[in-house]
Amino acid sequence: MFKYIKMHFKSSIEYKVSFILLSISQLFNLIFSVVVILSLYNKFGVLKNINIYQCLLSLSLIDLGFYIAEFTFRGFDTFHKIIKKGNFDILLIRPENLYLQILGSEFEPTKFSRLLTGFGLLIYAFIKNGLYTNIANYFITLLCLVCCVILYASILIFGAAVSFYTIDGIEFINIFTYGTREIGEYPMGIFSKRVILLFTFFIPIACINYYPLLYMFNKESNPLFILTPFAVLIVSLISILFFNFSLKHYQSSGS
Amino acid sequence: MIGYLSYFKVRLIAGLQYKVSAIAGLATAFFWAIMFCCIYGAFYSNATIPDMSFKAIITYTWLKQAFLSLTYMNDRDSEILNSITDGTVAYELARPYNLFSWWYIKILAHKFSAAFLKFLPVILVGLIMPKPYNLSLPNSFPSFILFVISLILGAVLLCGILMIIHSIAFFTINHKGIFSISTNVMMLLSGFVIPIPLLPNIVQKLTFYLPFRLLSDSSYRIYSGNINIPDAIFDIKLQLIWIVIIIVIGYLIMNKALKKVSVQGG
Repeated sequence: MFKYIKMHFKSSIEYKVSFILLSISQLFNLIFSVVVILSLYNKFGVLKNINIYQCLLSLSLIDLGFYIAEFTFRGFDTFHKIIKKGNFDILLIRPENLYLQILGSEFEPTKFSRLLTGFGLLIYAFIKNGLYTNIANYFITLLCLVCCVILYASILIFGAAVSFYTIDGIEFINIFTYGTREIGEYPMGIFSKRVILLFTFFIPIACINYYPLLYMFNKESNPLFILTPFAVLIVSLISILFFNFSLKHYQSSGS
Repeated sequence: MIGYLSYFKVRLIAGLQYKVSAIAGLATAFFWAIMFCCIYGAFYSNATIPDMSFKAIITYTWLKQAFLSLTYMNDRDSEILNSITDGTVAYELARPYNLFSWWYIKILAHKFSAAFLKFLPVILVGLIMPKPYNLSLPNSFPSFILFVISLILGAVLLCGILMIIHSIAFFTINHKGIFSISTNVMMLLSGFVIPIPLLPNIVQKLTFYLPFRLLSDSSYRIYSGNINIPDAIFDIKLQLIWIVIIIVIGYLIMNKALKKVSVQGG
């Protein structure tokens, strides 16, 4: 595993200027999200008792979780390319773990810059909200983050499984990754009940950036709210089963 | 001139062949439009702001999705960029046409064909959406005419800017980083990330005379009447001035690059 990462990293820092410029350009993603939230708060004022720092906390949770998943599971994100070129057959006959090979097939070290800034923003929001006084908050935040990574990784694996059938990548899967991330950047509390329910039972991002935060901000005292992030395990179970099922029925795309 | 026109036609027809990918993009367009309706709906239910009405911003959202391919900035023509890095640009130079115009036409035709396939279904769906979340009709007939003019001029301006960014590839081998940074800055200043009226007032003032606001933001606001007729005419004049400036700059940069270009081997 580390061999793969080291290899990709070394080959990409060969072009130093390009590496730095690309790393900078990756930061815009987070800058955009923060600028949008700050502008909206500047124009509309505080929404439904959710202050700007609470908003930044849920934004950074979702974004950082997404970035980590995209960074480590990039191979599944671009999996349709492997299928399309017929290279998947090569992976199958190698005496190496299949999943490890898919993970190592594509890796973008320039995206590392996002992780650092996302992490910085999360810590900033965490401190500004005064959550550092209670030790339990550290664990809840960490749990949310890990579950967010699992959720987005599962969606990427699901998308990869779909490309077994479609051969080409489908733009539609972006709705589940970029789309849910976009909506997750806004605090769930501002939306209507129906929207919240949709994102609880369909794609459970509310379980990451809404229910646990309610507990942390003392808006709810029921400890069950801490356990909601575990709902993502259902999604990951479904997508892993689907991937394995598709793998069994895969008939080479020819090369 | 006839050569350029027929090239435009050829590229336009070639672009119209990608029907399946356009249809596949529709689902995404609907989803994003509906999602932003939800987000803005949540904010506007809390307070209203003088800069932009709820109706105007919903209309803005639908129009933005309908004409996304026409106004999308982060749109690199990999054929052009690759021909610069791998040297096949030499073949292009052998043609009896001006390379700047040739490529300009290629990018412009690509934009128009991509938008042509997609805009109508999105507009239709936008029109039949339930009440507060629907695409409203144009504010008045003159504002509709001005909207069409300013949208087309916006695309002409955008292709000029894209030409400048593409020709940077002549000066550096690693064009990816510069390309990405410049288009991202453009996105932020052009109202692509968030409509200009929702940005803080000071940023609105700063972006007023810059060309980026005129790429699409101004057109959508003319449609909904958020920009009134006299201001719309001013914006269109400003667009024309910027088009001249940008195309002259792009032309000069390209000429400078082509003077220095040396192609090895064959």
